[in-house]
Amino acid sequence: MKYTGLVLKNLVRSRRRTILTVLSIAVSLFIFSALVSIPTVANQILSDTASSTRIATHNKAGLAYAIPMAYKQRIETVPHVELVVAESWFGGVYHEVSDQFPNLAVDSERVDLMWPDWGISKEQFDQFKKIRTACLVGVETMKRFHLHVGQQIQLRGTIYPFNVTLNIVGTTGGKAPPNFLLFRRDYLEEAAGRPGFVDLMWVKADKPENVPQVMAAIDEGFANSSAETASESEAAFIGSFMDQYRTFFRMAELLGFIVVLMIGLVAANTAAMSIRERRGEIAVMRSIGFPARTILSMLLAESVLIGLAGGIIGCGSAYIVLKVFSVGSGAGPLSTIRMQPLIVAETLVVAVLIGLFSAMAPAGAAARRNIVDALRTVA
Amino acid sequence: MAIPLKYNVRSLLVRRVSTAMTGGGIALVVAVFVIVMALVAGLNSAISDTGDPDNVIVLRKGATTETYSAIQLDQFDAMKFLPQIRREPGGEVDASPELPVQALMYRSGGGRDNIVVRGVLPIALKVHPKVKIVEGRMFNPSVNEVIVGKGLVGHYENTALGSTLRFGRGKWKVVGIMTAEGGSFESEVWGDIHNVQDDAQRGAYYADVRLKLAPGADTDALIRRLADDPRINLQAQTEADYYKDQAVVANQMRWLGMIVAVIMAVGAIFGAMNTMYAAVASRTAEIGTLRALGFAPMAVMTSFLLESLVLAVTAGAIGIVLAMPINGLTSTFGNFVTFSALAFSFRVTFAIVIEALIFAAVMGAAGGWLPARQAMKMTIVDALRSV
Repeated sequence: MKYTGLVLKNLVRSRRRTILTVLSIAVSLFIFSALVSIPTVANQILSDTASSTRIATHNKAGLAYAIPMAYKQRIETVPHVELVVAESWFGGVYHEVSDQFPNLAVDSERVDLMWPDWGISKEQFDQFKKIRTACLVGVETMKRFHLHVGQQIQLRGTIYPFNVTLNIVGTTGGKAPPNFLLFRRDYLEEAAGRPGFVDLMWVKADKPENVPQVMAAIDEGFANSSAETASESEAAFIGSFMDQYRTFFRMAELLGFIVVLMIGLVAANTAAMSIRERRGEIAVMRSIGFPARTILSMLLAESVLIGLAGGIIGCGSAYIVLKVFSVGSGAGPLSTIRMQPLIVAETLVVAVLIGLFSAMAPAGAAARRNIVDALRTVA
Repeated sequence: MAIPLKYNVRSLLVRRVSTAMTGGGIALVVAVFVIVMALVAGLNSAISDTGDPDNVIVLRKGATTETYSAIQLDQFDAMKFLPQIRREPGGEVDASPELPVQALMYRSGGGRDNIVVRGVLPIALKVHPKVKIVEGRMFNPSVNEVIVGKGLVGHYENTALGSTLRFGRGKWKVVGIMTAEGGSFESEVWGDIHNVQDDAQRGAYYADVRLKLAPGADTDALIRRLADDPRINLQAQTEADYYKDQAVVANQMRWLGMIVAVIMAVGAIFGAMNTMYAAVASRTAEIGTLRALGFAPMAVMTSFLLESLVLAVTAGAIGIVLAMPINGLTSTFGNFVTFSALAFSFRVTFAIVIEALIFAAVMGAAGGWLPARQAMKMTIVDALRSV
């Protein structure tokens, strides 16, 4: 520790080089931390829902195939089922076609029991149950379109040949998807002329350990019927949506890896340059008695500090940018990317490792070099 | 009088390790650029190339994609007789009613995706001339037979010719494999429209209609007529326009790729600047000598800038070679618009190669500019003193 001063002094010696290197590492780690944050969206949502007792039951053939409304009563009689909420995708747009966000119609009576973790107050639930045109809106969608509670909005139908006029009675928070809009299915059903079909049933089991049993019981009950069902845990259901973007996720990871390689090269080059210039000086230090190990650790500390500084700047700005970007960009699933603490830690570790490894070879060589040879180059 | 380029090339070779590391950084940035642009080009061609210049797509008013559209039989019957639509020599109208539905299919490696199953009539092959059956034959409408896009074969279970594909509620025999010049129909399964209606329990309606324009027909007049005729009352646009709107995925990817590449380039430029500053510093005496020999300050600057450019462009070429194995690689991508998988192949086009080289040159110029200026500004006496 007593050499801290010397390490810092060495850092400011070639100020321009230090700044360029720190900036180079910073911009690269900025993009690295942003890139590796992309695939974690999926993992985050999955771990949020891993212990959920919710089950999604849909038509075995795919979500484009409906299931009869009458299945609701039958599913409710399956043992260990607490409640069932039917859901239909409305797919409406607000003003422009590009203003897309998920909007769904759900059974209103028991939404509070199905999604107690969605941060909806009792008053808002009561309003939702009372007003036929009520809707609950996620915070992100509220912000994106500058909506406020009490406002009346119209969603233009794309799948359905009509529009719905809705009154915002509250916002969702907690673990609710931040861009969802929920409205009442009885309103949709009536407007659509009571087709008697829904897209999906959300089923809540009494205990997590009963989930597999309930799923099997539901699907067996509808086997060989005109609309066979497939039930999935909430995590698997959401995971299958995320899975669509796997090429994109793999790509982000690949690019992140290439970025790290690139900064590694840049940092190693700089470290080698700055150590090469100091060869004579290092030889002098060794000849007056500094052990090789001390010199090596000083050089490494210097390099690690550069890496860490770049890491903090890069990761910090990525954190801020993602936070700003995530509101109102409407870039599909990209808009929900947040930087997880794990990624921050990972980026900083990468930063330290880059500092360490980039200086390892040249510093090691310089510290172990034959003093006589090195001193000779001083002259 | 210019300083020979040979001087720069040799200088680069003298500091081999440093050159390799700086160049490696630039090469990786260029590789990233090429990979992302190849993805964008692949997605773009998979989406945009689907359209046919002579085709018009008819949707329900307000519908944004064919997935969200519905057309009744009487509407279809009313539009069939419009004069702007081409007719086959046998009198058949080139109007193809279609019903795409998304059905779950299972990937060979595990997992599943929504795949578009398009219900069509045999006339579809006339309206979409890009679609060609390359193996097997067209499906027979009276039995559960389908033809499968080439982009799905191998990626999804039971998509090979002769196998039995399960989707929806039934079993379907694969009797043909189709290509579509890289368009998105290659990621689809085509079957008889009535069989698909039955399977999806849809009523007797279509999602959209594709019309082939008669030679010389007035497209705008047709689109207006389709919208204004009370018996039809539908919205139409050319396929080119329609698929341009569908290409949002590709555009989003392009932006993402550009941002990543530019930010990485900034990092690489800082690295190149470091190297070039070091090169200038360690060759102060040489610069003094060159100046003393009579080379102009401008020649010194040009020389160092060229050195940086040579390094960057060579590195760029290496980066392109590094990224080349991705060319032709096929994969599937979630389409934000249709919520179904889209098969595409990475395409490293000639334009991308040129862009990548320009990109590398820009990095070299940006990284070399300031150090080269410093070299130019040295006074002969000071520079020579450092010997």
